[in-house]
Amino acid sequence: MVLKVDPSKKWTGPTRPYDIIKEGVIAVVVVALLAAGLSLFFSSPDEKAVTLKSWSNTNAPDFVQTATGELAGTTTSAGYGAPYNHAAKGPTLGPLKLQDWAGVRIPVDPATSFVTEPLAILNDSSTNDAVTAWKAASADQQGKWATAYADALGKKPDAVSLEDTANAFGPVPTMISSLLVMAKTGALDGALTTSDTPLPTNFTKPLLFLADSEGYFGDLAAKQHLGGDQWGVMNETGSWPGQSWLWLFSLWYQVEPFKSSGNADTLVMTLMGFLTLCLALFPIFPFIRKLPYKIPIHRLIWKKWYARKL
Amino acid sequence: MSSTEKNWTARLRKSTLESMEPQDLLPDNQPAYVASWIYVFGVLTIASLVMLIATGLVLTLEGPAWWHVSSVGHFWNSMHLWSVELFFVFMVVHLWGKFWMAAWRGKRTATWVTGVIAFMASILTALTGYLIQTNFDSQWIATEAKDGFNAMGIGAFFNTLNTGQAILLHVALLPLAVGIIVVWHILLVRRKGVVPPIDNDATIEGGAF
Amino acid sequence: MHSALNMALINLDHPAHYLGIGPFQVSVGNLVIIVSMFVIFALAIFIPFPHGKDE
Repeated sequence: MVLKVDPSKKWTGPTRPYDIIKEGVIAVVVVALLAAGLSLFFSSPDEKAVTLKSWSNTNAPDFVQTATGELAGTTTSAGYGAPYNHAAKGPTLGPLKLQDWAGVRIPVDPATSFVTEPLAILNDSSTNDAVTAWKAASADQQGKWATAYADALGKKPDAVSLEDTANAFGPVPTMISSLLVMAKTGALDGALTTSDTPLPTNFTKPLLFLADSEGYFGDLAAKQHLGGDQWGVMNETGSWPGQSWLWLFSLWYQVEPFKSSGNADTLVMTLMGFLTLCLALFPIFPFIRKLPYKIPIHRLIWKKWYARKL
Repeated sequence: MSSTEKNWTARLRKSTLESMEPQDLLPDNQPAYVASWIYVFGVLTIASLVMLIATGLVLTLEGPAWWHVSSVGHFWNSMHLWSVELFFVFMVVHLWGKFWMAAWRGKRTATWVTGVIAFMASILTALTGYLIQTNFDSQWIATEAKDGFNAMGIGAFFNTLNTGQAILLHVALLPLAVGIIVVWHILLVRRKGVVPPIDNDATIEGGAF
Repeated sequence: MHSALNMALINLDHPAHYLGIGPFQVSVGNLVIIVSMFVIFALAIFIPFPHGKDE
């Protein structure tokens, strides 16, 4: 009997016995045993979450500098743009302003959201007076006060508050000192997570605030090798394996032109989208679809088949 | 157009139930060339998905913070994590195998494409899983991943910093999406049968196998 | 980390080791996973499949 192997036709040649249900059951048992063994041997990571409370108690000067930066508009989130605010146009892809076009759907104005709104909860007259003075001032005046205080703090990196000897800081030192007290007690964490609903499920505000910190949050991540420039996308805390399937995504951030590009996120996401499309289109890709023929690994997979072919 | 071709129910029946023999769907034999360990990695990936759903359901029983305070909860978290690692290992080996077999031959392009979609949907599902650990890792990943999604205009709708959103996506919509794509992928494999060896014009002597 | 909750026979709760050349860096944990994929693939191809009775 002579057969013609046509992959699009239903197979009518020789067969071998097979039990799909038995195979499936055995596979589930094997994977369950493997997972249980790996869990007993290696467990799983759980590095405790950080808070504005732990930040302000661990590195108060960094908290004070970052909070002042929020008022001065110099932090990452203060200058972010969409979807949080209108401070910038965000990264672009040629004429495509994807980030900006999506709009400000998650409004966060750091000076208001992280500082003045939470301070309004405090029942303290000097704080309330300071916030009233801040709000009454022009944007220009606010900027001058906050920048002057930020500059002065920059010269004394260990300070958590400074005397206003030159009368240049306005209400800023009072506001920041009160915010530090709130943060240290944990009240600020509560204030930032409950501004929308008293039962928090959304951590956008405290996480944006934390991510603005250079001396705490980013530092902790860098120690765990989680930074974007450390292949951090695929890494895990401790010595556990992480999302190794993101290796290619992670790779681009380590090499030029992405590494030093201000548009790295847009470029890498677009490139990965394109490469994914290519992977899906392998069956019609001119060169790649022929690779399995040129590098005959299939000869090993079907070696019995080819061995018996005439 | 005949009346059956206009009938939605008849069309659905033709494209589903009548497109497959019971023997295709639940086979008790396979073509003789299906004889390599590389063929077990598809079913191992599915078995890992079954374990992911089972361990994930256990983790839902006492809420997102349970595993931080209970050694039983922590064990199920470990089971869930290692099932993820196994899932991706098996899926990648399966993908490599299918690539070197050029398994898209014989009008199987849709099978390959649904496999790629399942891979990508799994990566997104895994990411949301990492986002809802409610520990330092999830906090850091949330603040990093937001920039990627924001840069594409997606972050305005899928906010990685919104833990509640990530939890609901991870336990409802995304596993459902992965499940549907995987079932579709399996049905395509079963309907078309396992791709034969690369040898379009080959003639073989029957009975050799 | 709650050490009491993390009842592992092998403790991975310590800073990871990293290997790398130039811009390439990988943690030992990830490398083990990646290498094991290649090893499993090679084994799957080379180890003979038990030969059942053909029909």
